[in-house]
Amino acid sequence: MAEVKLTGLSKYYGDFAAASNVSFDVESGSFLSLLGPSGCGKTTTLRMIIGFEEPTAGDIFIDGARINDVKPWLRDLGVVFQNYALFPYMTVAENVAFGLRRRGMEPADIRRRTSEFLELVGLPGKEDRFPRQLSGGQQQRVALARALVIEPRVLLLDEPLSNLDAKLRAEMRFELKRIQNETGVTSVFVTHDQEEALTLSDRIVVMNQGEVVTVGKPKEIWERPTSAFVADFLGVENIFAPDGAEPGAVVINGKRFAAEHDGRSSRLVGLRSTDIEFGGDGDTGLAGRVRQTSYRGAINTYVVDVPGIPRPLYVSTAADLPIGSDVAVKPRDGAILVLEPDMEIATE
Amino acid sequence: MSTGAKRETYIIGAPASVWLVVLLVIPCLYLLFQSLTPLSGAGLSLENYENLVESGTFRKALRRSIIVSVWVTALTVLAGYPIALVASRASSRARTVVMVIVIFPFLLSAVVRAYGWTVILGENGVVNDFLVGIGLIDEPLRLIQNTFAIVVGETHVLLPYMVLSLLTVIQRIDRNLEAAAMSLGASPPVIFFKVVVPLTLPGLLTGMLLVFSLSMTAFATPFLLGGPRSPILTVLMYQYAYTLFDWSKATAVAGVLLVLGLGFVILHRFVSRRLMRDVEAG
Repeated sequence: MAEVKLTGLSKYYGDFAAASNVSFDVESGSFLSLLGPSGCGKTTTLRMIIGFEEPTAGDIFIDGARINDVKPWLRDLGVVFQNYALFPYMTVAENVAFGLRRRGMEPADIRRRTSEFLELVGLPGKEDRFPRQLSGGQQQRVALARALVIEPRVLLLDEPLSNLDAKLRAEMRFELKRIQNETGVTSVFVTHDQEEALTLSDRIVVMNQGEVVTVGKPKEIWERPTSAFVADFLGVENIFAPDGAEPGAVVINGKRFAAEHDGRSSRLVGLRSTDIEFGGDGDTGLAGRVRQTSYRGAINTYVVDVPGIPRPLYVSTAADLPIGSDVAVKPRDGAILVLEPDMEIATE
Repeated sequence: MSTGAKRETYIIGAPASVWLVVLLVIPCLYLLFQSLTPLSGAGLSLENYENLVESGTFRKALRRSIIVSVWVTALTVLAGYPIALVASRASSRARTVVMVIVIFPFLLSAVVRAYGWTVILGENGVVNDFLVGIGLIDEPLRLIQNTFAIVVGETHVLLPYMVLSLLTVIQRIDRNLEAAAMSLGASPPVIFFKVVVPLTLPGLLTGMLLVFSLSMTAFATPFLLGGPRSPILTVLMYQYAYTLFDWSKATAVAGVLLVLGLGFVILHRFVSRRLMRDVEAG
C-alpha cells in the first residue's frame, strides 16, 4: 500500500499536449478514478505512472519517493489492461506466476500464492486452463490475479471493464470493488464510464483535453458538478445560459429561481431531466409544448420546447402525455446547477 | 465449406496443379528413377547410392552442406531478430530505409554479390589489408574459397527471408503483452525471451525452414565463393554432371538433396505443430 502523488505532470508530442499539468494525490489504500472522454489524457497519465511514457515535465511520487527515473520493471506496480493482455501460450497458473518467478520465489510458494489469488478473484481450480478456454470476464479476473499476486504498491487499471458485455460489466464492477476492499491496494482506475467511476471510487479526477477539470468525491461531483463539461459528461441533459443572474438566484424567461449563484453573468445553468417536473402555473413554471416523447417504462422522457430557452428541455417523469400537449415545467427546489462555462453549448 | 464451393476451389486450383505436376512432380520422380538405375542399365538398385556413400568427397560435401546450412540459419536468426524488431518499432520512414537495405541483395545478381565479397574478403581485400595494416597479422588470412566464405555469402543472401518471416509475426504482437510483462518485473531481455520469442515462434520456424532449405540447395553463391576445393552437395552434383559426366552419381546426389529437403519440411511441420499448438490457438 502506498500513496501516489503527481505534480504538474505533462506529456507533449510536439506542440500537442496529451497531458498538461496534471496534479493529484491518491491516498494510501484508496480508489481513484481518472474519468474523461477518449483523448482526454487519462490513459497517457496512467502510462506515465507505469513508466511506458516518459513525462515531458512534472514528477511522480510513490510514498514520497520520486519514481520518474525508476525503470518500469522495477516500479512494483500492478497493471490491468482493457484487452486483458494475458500470455496466450501460458496456462492460467503460469500467467499468474509470471511476476512471482521474476522475483525468484520458491516454486512451492509460487504454487501456493497462485492458488490463493485465483481464489481471491473467484477462479479456484482453473490453474491448468489456457486463457482462450476462459470467458472474457474470467480472463479479466486472471489478469487481476496476475497483477495483485505480486502485492504491488499501486494497482493501475486501464478501462478493465470496457471489453465486457453489460451484464458481466456490472458483475465485475462489484467484484473489483470487493477485491480492492479485501486487498486494500491503492488503485488508479481509468474509465470513460461515469457510472463505473461513481460506483467504484473514493475520489474522481475528471479530465478533458489533457487537463484536470475537477477533483472530488463521487457524491460531490454528481450532486454539484462545477463546470458545464463535467455536468455534460455526467449526463446532465439540460445546460443553457440563463437570461440573468443575481446572488442566490437565476432568471429564466423572466422568472426567478433559487440557485447557489454568485451573480457572475458568464455562468451557465444545468438541470437534470429527472430534476424537472411538469406542473406549476404561469407564475412558478415555464410554459412549453411537448415536441417528442420516448417511452421507457417506469420513467418517460419528454422533449419540451420552451420559448425563450435556446434548446428544448429534457424532462424525465412518470407522467404520460401525448405529443403536442401544452405543459408548464418547473425545476425541483435546489436542483439548478450553476456551472463554469468551459465548453461550447450547442444551440438548435 | 459446401460441396459447391469445394468444387469451385478445385477448378480454380486445377491449372496450377497441372503446371506443378508436369513441371515439378514428374521431373522429380524421373530423377529418382534415374538415380535408382545402375550404370549397367539393368533393373533398379541402390548401386549409385552405395557408390556415393563410399566416396570420401561426397561425405565431406554432405557434412559441409549441413554445417553451412546450420551456420547460415543460426546467423540469420541472430541478425534477423534485431533487424525485424528495429524495423517493426521504427517510424515508417526509418522502416523503409531498413527494409531497402535488407532487401537490396535480392536485386543484385549472384555474380555481383560474390564479386563484392571477393573485394572484401580476398587476399588483397579490405579486411586483410586492414588487419595487416594495423599489424594484427603478418600474412593475409585465407577468407575466400572456403566454407567460411560460403557461410558469409549465404547469410547475406538469405537474411531477407528471415527478416520478412519475423517481421510479419512481430508486427502482430499485442504491445500490451510486453507492457504487462514489464509491469510484472520483466526487464527488456526477459521480455524478449519470455514474450517476443514465444509469440514469434511461427515466423521463426518458417524463416528457419526457408533459410535452411534455400541454403542446402543454393548453387551460385557456394560455387563462386567456395571454389572447387570445398564443394557443398549442389556444387558436387554440378561437378559430377558437367565436369565428370557421371550422371548416375549426379542423380544420386540430387536424390539425397531431395530426401533431405523433404525430411526437413516434415520435421518443420512436426516441430511447429507441437510448439505452436498453444500459440496459434491463443
